[in-house]
Amino acid sequence: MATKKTAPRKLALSVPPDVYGKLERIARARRTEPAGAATALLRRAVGEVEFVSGMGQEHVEAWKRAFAPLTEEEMLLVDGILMSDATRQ
Amino acid sequence: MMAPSASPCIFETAALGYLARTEERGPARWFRRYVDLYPVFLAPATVTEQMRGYALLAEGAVPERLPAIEAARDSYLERLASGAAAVVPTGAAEALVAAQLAVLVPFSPSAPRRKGFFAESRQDRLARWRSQISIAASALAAGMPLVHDSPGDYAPVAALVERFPERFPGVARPRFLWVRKLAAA
Repeated sequence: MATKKTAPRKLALSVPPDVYGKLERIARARRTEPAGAATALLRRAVGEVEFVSGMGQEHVEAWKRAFAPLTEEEMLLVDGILMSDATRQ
Repeated sequence: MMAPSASPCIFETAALGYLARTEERGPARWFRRYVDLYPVFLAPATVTEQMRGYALLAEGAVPERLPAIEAARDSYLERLASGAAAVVPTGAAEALVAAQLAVLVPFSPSAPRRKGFFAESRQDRLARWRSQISIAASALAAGMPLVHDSPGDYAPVAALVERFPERFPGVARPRFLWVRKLAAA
C-alpha cells in the first residue's frame, strides 16, 4: 500500500495542442492514457536533470580563465607538447 | 555518444585545454552540462604536464607577457583548490595497467608533433607517450571514461585492452571518448 510519501501526487498541466497530440499518439502506442504517458516521459526527463546545479556556465568561464588567455603556441606547452627548432634537431 | 550526465570522466591534458577554449557547439555544450554535474577529474600526469607548461612559459616570458601567464596559472590552481578539478588517486592498480600498456605499445602510435619549423623531438614524444599511457591507466584502473584529443593514440590502446583482457584483470571495457565528437542531447 502506498504511504503518504510514495503515493502519486496530482499535477494539472496545460500543454500546447501539438504536444498534446504527440502525447496522445505515444499513449495509444503504449496502450495507456495520455496522463500515464506524460508521467513516464516526465520521469525520464527529470532523471536527466535532477542533479543540475545551474553553475555550468560559471565553471566554463573559470576554466576559460585558465586557458583562453594563452596563444596557440603557448597552449602547446600547457598541453604537454615541447617543440623546438627542427633545423637544430 | 555518452551523455554528459552519464558518468564522471577523466580528461586528458590536451582535451581539457580544447574544451575550455572551443567555440564548437557540440563539445562546448557537452562540457557546460558536464561541469554542472561533476568535477573535472585529472590524472596526476596531466597536472604535471600542465603545471610544467605554465612554469616553462613563465620562465621564458618577456616581462609584459608574464602577468597574463601567471593569472592563467593561478586560475588553473584555483580550479584544483576549489575542488572543481580533482586528481584521481593512483596506486598499484594504475601501475600494473600502465606496465602492461608500456609492453604492448612501447612507442607512440602517432608521430611527433610538427608545426612549421618547429617539431617535437623523438625523445620528447616518447616522454609524452609515457604520460599518455599513465593517463590511460588511471582511467582504466578507475573504470572511468577518458576524454582525449588523440584518437590515433588512444584507439589502439582501447583495442589492445579488449584483445588481451587476461593482461588487464578487473579492468572494464575501455570508454575512450574523442573530445571533438562530444555532443549533448
